[in-house]
Amino acid sequence: MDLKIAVEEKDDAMVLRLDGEVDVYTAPKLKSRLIDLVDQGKFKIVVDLEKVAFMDSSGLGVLVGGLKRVRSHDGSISLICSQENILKIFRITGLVKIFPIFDNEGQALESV
Amino acid sequence: MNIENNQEIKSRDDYLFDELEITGQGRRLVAVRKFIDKMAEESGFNETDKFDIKVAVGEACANAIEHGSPRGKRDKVRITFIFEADYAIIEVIDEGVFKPRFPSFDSQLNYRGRGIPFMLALMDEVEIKERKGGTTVKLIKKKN
Repeated sequence: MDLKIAVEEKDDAMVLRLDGEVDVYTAPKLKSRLIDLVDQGKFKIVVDLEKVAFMDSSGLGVLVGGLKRVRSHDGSISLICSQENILKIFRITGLVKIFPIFDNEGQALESV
Repeated sequence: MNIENNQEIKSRDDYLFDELEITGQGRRLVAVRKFIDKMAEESGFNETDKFDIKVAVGEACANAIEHGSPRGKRDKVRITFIFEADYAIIEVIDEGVFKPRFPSFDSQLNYRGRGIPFMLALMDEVEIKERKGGTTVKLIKKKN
């Protein structure tokens, strides 16, 4: 399974909707999308993980890298995720304390 | 053994076993995950167990590809699977030198080296054995 990424501007934030698997092979695609957004001056980002079937440490690494980039411009990244398996990998790594995670888009948009 | 073939999983009475061989390409991890899905499904592991096994084995394979394949595509990573009634044993065997990487404690924004903590958190047992000419990571998951 590949990774599809749709980008939508909503309110004054960018929403990235991921569909598929984020692994060592597909994570660079997500990385380049995040870098593109920062290069375009978009620092408020919401990443929707509801359709992500698999994510490993390379996916987390890219999200953390993206967070570092937007933070240097006073921006933020919030996540939408209600899938227990995906939430678990954020818990294991302690990243639940770093990323605001919501189960709906409305709250995620308000948070950035 | 070529994982592109839709091979039949072998079985010996009360357990399933098989092995795959991949070269240093991250893309092959998709095939490894599909293979785990198939074996775990046939052995009655639930969705959570399947996800945990796929993440842990994926991390071990990614380590093996990154550090255990000094000659690139010429090096092979062999993965053996045994699925018993109550647990699964997976070994990831590479041809390189193991480099343990743990995240440093000074910053949660240090995002490298999470592979081993993942394996430890998701599996019941993790054993890393170095031998002449390679490293073997053995992962054991009990059925929930």
